[in-house]
Amino acid sequence: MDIQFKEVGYAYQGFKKQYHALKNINLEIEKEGEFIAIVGQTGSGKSTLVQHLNALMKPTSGTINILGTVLPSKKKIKVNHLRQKVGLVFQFPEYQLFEENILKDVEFGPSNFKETKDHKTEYAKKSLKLVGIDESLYEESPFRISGGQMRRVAIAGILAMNPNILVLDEPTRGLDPQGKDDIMDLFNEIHVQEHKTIIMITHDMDIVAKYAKRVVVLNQGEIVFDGKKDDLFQHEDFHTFHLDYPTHMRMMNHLHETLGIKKKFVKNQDELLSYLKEVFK
Amino acid sequence: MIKVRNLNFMYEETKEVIKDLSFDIKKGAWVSILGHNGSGKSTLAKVLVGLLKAQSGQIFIDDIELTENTVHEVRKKVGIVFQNPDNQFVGVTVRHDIAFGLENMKIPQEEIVKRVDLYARLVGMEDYLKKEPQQLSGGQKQRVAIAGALAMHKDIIIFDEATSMLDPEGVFEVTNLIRKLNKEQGQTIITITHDLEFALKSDYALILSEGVLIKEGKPSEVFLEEDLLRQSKLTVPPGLKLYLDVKNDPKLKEQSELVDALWTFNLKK
Repeated sequence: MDIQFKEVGYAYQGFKKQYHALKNINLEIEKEGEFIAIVGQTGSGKSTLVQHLNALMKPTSGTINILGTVLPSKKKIKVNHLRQKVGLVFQFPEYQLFEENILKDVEFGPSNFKETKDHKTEYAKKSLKLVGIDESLYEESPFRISGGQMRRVAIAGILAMNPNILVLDEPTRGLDPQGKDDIMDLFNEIHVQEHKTIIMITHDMDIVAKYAKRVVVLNQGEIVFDGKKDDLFQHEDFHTFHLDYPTHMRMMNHLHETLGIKKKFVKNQDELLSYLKEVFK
Repeated sequence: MIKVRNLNFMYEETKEVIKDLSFDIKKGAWVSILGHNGSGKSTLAKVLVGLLKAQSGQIFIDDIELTENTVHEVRKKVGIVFQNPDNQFVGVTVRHDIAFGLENMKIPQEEIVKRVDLYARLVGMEDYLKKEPQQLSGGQKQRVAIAGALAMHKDIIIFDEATSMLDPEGVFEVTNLIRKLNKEQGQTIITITHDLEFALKSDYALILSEGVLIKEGKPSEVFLEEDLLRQSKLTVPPGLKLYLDVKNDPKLKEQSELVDALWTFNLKK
């Protein structure tokens, strides 16, 4: 197992009491082939959890093994290399662009790690190509391109570090619908072609239904579900997870309530349409 | 009432952002201005409140023509909430930020306190009044910006993608709040968005593509033209997509109950 959480808790001291952001988290993740959505209400611990994946935060109880490095450690150990192996893309990553031109900005990430610094230009160009930023823009300021392009450049900055695992905190937030599809198709392509594990926080159940293979549901700092997405959406306790159903399932429910159409589990919009064709034959 | 006539705007000499735009917005209406990224919709918002000056054309707000001389008078009538809350948070705390506009309007202190409390509650930020901006999430800052704009009781409020950082529940709450204020207080609301689902709830839609008004009308009618939506690079949301698929299916479209049920699904969300 490449990443393993054992009874991990994260607590912090508030003004008068202690808050438990994560409680008794047990989680195993492979570095190849997984596409995991982490979902849950605002404040359920999603962002705290993913920041443990590359040692930006360390557990206050329990242990995490990240690609062989065990945290917390009694000895002082270097964790910097984990930030290269587990690439974390924050919310609104375009706010972190800073260099004078796009190529330099993307080179910044790989220039920080011995594994990648000798190849920074090569990796930067490869990543920019992957996210669809044209060579003619390399010398442009990252602040003179559109918001959607800025986000792509910021993502290229993480990809250029050549991480094994890609962690994304709400990658589609604030994008227009076309931008959402484009960005998700990009991650899906990376996942399919390079078998990289993708771990993604999202509120958008349509994205979960379309792209994720496995879903981890957090509620008040605890994992309340970890399994296949189809099992999640058919789970009898689904209502206790404080989540929405994907649109096609909400439509099915609506048609059941208004027209009395018999409910059936459908995986996507196309299945719903064929089901309706069958019902109204 | 807003009247726009033959409006043209360009940032640089060669790049036209708004091209010969004319439209009317009725008093008390909730109108959505839709378009893809770069279609000129945010620019239009800034031109409407006089933050950017159009090269040609006219804008009338309640029969006052927007000019350098009238811009202050016009801004008393029109409020705007921008896309990025970080660029508009001016107060040291949430309370100060919501009060900022009211203080500039020289509203009595007592009334300011009342309005701050009321609008903070309406946007669900009443427990955060003492917080500083860096303690808030993007979505919370957007709620504060919305409260600040609503508290000023302007006749017209423009929301420029003002819910982009909220989670789905937050968007739902803010949408209901906008609708309530529009219905109860009769404010004219202009929402600038690329979200067709959100725009479905408004009374009227203007669709921009490359700075040109390509269609206007009731959302329920305008959005039926799938080709037009595609042409304007707007993505059809799943709920609307199924409705259109059913309407285009020779057999299913005969099922009027089904067609109606799918339509109401789109409206209720």
